[in-house]
Amino acid sequence: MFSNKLKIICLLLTSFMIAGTLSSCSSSKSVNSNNKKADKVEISFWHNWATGPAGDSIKKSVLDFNNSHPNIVVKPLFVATDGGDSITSKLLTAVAGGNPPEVMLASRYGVAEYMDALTLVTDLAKKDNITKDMFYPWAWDEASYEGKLLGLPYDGTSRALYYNKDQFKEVGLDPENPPKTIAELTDAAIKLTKKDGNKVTRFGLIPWFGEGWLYTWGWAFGGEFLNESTGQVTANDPKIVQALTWMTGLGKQLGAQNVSSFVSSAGTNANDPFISGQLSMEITGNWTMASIKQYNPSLNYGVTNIPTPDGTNFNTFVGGRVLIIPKGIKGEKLDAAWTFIKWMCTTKEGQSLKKITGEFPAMPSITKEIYANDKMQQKFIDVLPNGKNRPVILAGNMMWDQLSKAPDLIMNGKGTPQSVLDQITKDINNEIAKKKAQAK
Amino acid sequence: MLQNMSRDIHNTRQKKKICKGSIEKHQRKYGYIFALPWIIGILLFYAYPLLSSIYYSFTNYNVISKVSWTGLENYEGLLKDPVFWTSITNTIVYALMSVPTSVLMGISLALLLNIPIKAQGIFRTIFFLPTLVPVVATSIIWQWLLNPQFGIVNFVLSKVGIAGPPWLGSPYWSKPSLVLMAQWAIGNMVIIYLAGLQDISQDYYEAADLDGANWFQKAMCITLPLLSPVIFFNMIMSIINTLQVFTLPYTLTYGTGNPANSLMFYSMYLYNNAFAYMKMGYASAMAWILFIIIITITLFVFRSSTKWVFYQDEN
Repeated sequence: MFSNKLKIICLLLTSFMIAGTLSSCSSSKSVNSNNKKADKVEISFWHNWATGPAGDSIKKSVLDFNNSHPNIVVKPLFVATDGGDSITSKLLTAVAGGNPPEVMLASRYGVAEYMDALTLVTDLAKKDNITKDMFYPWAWDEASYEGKLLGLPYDGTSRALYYNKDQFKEVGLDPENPPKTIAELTDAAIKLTKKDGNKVTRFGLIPWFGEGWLYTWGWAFGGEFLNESTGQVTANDPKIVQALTWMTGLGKQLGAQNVSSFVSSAGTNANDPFISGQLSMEITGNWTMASIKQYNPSLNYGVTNIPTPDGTNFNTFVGGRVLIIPKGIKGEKLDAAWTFIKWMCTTKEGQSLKKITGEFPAMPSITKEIYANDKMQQKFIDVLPNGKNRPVILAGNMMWDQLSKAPDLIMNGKGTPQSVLDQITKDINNEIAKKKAQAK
Repeated sequence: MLQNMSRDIHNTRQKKKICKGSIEKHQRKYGYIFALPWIIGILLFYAYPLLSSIYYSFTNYNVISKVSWTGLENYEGLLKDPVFWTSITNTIVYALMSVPTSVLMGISLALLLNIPIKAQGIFRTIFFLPTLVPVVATSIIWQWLLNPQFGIVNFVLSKVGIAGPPWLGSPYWSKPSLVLMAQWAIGNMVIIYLAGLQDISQDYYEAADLDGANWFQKAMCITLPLLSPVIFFNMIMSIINTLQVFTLPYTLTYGTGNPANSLMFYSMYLYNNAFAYMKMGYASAMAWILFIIIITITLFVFRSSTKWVFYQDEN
């Protein structure tokens, strides 16, 4: 019935299909373990910085490390994020499937929530004399949970108040004397806002735009989000309630409806309203300087520390990354991975490469060194030692989501600052208690 | 002799039965073997995760930590969770707004696109094109179109003297904005309606013309009843899809459901719980509750369909 030719074709097709199916199955032994070269240890390094200065810094870091460590080969692998900044779900899947990468670059915030997927480095750090005082306090704190070190802190990002000097001059404010207190800031914001009938054509300040998270202002007002000794979240700290009241009060004064609608479809980079001159002041990070240079180099702007109620004790919200070793990495791969992250996070060579992205190393000594001649960055660096990091808790992502939504809820009349923050505090503490109970 | 003959015939018949039986068995065996890859696939990648998620909904599963049985804790927690109830309300309100709108618009558009004019093909293509735009691109485009300060929609409205609403910036206008965006991409449904319209025999229309019916009477008495199976299909698919709406609101609000949780839909909350808050067990419980809700509504619609769906081959 079948001709010989047809039989051969069918056989070939079937064998291709079977081969294809088999090759797509991964074995729990990573491919690297089949490496015949016994003298080189290969480790894979997951990151999510593909392009631009960030991508370049990864390439250079890996190149420099591989050159200076001839018996280790680091293979960087770009992994796309699943929303926001995290590649957590991919890491979890890899750990559960038994073939995780040896090193991963992760956002420091929220690492505690998946610490079961990590090889903790507390003992390794102790053995190599890597201690808290080598780093900025926020770097070490955000990478630790209950005395355990989850990974080595890699870098930090800092925020400040950007302001448009030309627009300051236009309304009679002194461009060389930017606001230092909240009262001055409020005053400037009202003066700088331009209305055209009922529509606002220029906003002086939108407190929660850019990096004006409740965290930022809560800390500026002197509040604390976590009671270290009890481990309880204190989002309803009176100073934080004060901060939220100020944020939403100013928002309402400038026209609540308009503010929400402005924010929900404004963009970043080229669409950033500060860069296009539609927003006179913005709280944002040091990375925006590069964006301004690229999209509107003629913008005449200045940078000052985030105002506080009394004009002293400036601080900032610090974010940043950590290098972690997933669970399941052992033996010489673990040694190689540890060598790599030590080099990246605690040596001059590794940390100096942060200059490529314009972000800050986690080590104060190196930060001061590489940015010694950069005037623009000084405002960001001055305030780094007093930088604040988000609390390391088991419900970090949930707390972030709820606090980010708080101004919006209040602007839409769904509660007062006190009631909203009380509810959030209760919910997050319940969640933490639940998670702790389940982990036993 | 006759006895022998009948015995022979009986034996031959038996043999034929046996032979036929074994050929069928033989062919059946090969049938199963050829279907085996698909069966393995569906068991491994569909049935196993499905059944696991029922199990995990009774635990505190989060992929990597030790799994421990928590019984009905997830379900109880859900019933007490205000965001859960908000998300259910939002999803149902959205479905109530979206399904009738899309059915009405779909049918009207299909009827219009069925008019035999020269540019019929061009118009059909134009109305189908938006479905080809990726969802993320759709959300970015519409975010700018509906921007209250600088968007084109409010600009055009202001030229006509209407003060445009804040669209995505207001908790009351955000869901209608979403419905608007979803209508832009109803090309899929329109194609199916058009196919259904072709099925209606011209004889009915000719008879109606002889009786002197106008276009409205023709539409109500011929087109709609004969189109009802297709409407029924589209309605069910629409209900199932809108109750699971995820991509568009997620990309619009970056998963936050702003403003004021008005765009926090059920699937979004499920996703956040599963992948951001590491509560897969909780999310699995949400998934099964959604399943029960959708099945109930679908069964209800099926039940009611006997009253208004008219299949042409029945009498």
